[in-house]
Amino acid sequence: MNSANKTTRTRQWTGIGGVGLILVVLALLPLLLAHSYYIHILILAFIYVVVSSSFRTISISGQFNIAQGAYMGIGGYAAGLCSVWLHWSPWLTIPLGAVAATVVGSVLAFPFARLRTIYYAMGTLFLGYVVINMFTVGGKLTGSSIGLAGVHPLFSSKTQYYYVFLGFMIVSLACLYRFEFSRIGTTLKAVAQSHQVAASVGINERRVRILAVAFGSFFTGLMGALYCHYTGVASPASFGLAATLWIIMYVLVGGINSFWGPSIGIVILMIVPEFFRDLKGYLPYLWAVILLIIAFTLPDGIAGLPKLIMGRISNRRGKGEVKADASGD
Amino acid sequence: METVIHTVINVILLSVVYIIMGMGFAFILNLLGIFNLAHGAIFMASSYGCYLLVARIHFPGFVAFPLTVLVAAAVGVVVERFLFRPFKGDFNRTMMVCIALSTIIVTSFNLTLGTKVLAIPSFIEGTTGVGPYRVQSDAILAFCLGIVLLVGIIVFVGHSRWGAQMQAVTQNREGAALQGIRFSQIAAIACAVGFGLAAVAGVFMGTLYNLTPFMGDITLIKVLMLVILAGVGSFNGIFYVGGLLGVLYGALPMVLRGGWVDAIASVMVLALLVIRPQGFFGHE
Amino acid sequence: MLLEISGLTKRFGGLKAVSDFDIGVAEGEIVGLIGPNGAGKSTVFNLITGVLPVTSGTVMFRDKDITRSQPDQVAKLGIGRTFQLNPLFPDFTVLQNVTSSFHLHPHSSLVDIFFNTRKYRRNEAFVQEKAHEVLGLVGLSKVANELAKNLAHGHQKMLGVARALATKPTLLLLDEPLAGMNPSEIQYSLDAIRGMRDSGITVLIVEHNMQILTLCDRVVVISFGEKICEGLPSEVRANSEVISAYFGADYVC
Repeated sequence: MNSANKTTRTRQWTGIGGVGLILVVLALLPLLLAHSYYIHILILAFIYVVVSSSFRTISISGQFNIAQGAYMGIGGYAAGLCSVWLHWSPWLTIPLGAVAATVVGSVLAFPFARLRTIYYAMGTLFLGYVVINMFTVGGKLTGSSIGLAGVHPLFSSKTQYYYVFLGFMIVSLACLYRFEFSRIGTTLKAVAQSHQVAASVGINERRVRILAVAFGSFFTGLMGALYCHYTGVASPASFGLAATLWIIMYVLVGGINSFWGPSIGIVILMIVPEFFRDLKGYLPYLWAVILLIIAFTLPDGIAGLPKLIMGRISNRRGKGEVKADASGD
Repeated sequence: METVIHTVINVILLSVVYIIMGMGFAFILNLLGIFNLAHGAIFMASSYGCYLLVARIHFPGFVAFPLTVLVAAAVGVVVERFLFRPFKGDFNRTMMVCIALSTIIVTSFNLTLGTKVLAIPSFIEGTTGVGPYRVQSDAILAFCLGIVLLVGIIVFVGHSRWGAQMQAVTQNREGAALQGIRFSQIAAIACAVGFGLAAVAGVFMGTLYNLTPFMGDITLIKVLMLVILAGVGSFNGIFYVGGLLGVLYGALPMVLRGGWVDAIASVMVLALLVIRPQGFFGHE
Repeated sequence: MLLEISGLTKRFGGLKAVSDFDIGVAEGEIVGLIGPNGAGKSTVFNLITGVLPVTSGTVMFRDKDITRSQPDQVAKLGIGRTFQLNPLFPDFTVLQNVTSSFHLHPHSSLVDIFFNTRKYRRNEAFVQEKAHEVLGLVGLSKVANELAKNLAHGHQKMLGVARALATKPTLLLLDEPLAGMNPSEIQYSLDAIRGMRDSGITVLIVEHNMQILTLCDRVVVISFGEKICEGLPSEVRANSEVISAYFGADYVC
């Protein structure tokens, strides 16, 4: 038992060290980056890391919630509407956005909470579609299909946005992490594996699933509100099906089975292509190629790479050694 | 009176297009268990492809049309063999592959043909009709072809050997395999038919209406609506729900402005879905 | 009476799976519910725990009407159960299967869990200790870190029992606990069930295997959804109706 504890301890500290290192690098980056465009990209990355991670956290409970983009939209429009029409301060609009997304998301999740996989996915797909359509028909109030402009900015310089959003990302990820690796997360995973067994030990499936959606949609809505204050616009196009598909791709490419999967996915699909900006109109080909490579070689996403390598190594050493991996990544 | 007839014709034509699209998607879904998210891209590609053949290379319409469909069917077979079969229905990987395929196709056409709105030149010029009530001759041709095609599919699925095998596979894949049904053959046929039907729908849409760069995405959502409401595993339901969507998207635009059509239609679909999430005509 | 069932009926369309079924279980008893295959035994369990809705009749537990209660509510009231087909949490380890089942007792609130309060940490330590205890009771200590889906069938069954015990049940419903076990496993299970009763748990067992009769204080026989006999194991064994229901195939006098 002691050696197992030791390796877990070492793994934990390596993990913390690695994350700490990345944070230090992120904190120093604005000083090194010449162009504010790169800072812009990183700001967007921070936002989408949280949105994608929330999607993934919800998926732990077995729910493939394709309304994710719409939750972001609810947060964004709630904050945007209050900012543009009521001139409320961002101190109010941003929390409001998060809360609005949570409330609406939880209420709408109710009729779908007992559905299985593909029916849940399709149900939430159309749920998201309906929400986006609602924004589009809002006429002058919501700015129709073009969007609502004039959302009050938060700061004057991009660097300020950068550090504040970095802070939001860190806190959000910490919360999502805690959610997943505590008893709450275990309960979510239990419901995902067998709702029958879960019920027999007193776990109410519907409550747990709605809890997962509520938690995830809170952070997604928060990011939506931040996004709208940053760009100054709340438009349906940013939150529609295409946006959600991208979120799903970030998660799948990075690895849906790992907490850091979404973050890795964003690095690969958002940040790496920036180095190939010269491709311009041909850039989508790069995305497609990345998707195909991952699909063919790394079904568990890039986060699954270490396990794959370890598996190959142990296959070469001893034959068919069953590695009982007690903890998730 | 004229608007009423116009609306009815619109509804009928759209229904035919949606049913054909939905049927193609359903073939792939029911037999392979795969949500072909590239279906919209094939629809768009065939539309643009046919346009290229007719308007730029000046093939006659009745050559370009079958050619487009055959090419699409061939693409379907290739895609099934190299992109679907290796993953045996793993939802995540298939999704990635479909989106990759869709991106490649849509980007290619956007790059070569730009983002203008286009239309495929008519197959049969002019209009036909009685007295003051005229309708595009193309529309009548499309309608007849569509009916023939759909009847052909009903006959094929219901009364041919392949059709019987397909029905078996839809209900129980392993059981079908145990009966000696070669799944790879069925899969290839299913994808050929699926992609081919998408192509037919695409050409119809391009001729009767117009071509836009987003037509694939827009139609994909409608196809998903169609298939989910009809129910996974159903072919018959496609007819009924396709008709419903034709009514919604054909008639509503006459009385409502742009965004409201989508809003109302999607709310209706959502409400129906909440009532019966597994669809109305499916197996489960 | 701990559990009191009267007039329990379940219809599936025109088919009566369970018909006007009565049974009472007193505290501290081990009661066996036996009958041939398809008699409706597991259906009775599913009706008690709320997995299937009741067509008519009542189920009273500790003088509380639980006829319309949901499975998780029934678990909360103190009824634990195992399943015939034995679903598990396949991707969890054996230990995780048990620790995740300590959902009701000890109870940590969401706030406690999220903020890692002292109460939560104390509860989790308690859960770990108890989980290992339970695994020891059912003989699964050695495989605590194996994935549940990799376990041998007999072990999986014991894991199901361990999981049911984690809910600190007053009444334990065992659904065909001896199915698929070899003789030594059967003996082990019979002893384990006796041990549970000694520690204060009332047990209602559905079983097809007649060896369960050695364990039971009382036996109820069900056939085609109807009760055909009730009494001491020795009485039931000799009953001619019971013999004919089983066509004499399942046991040797």
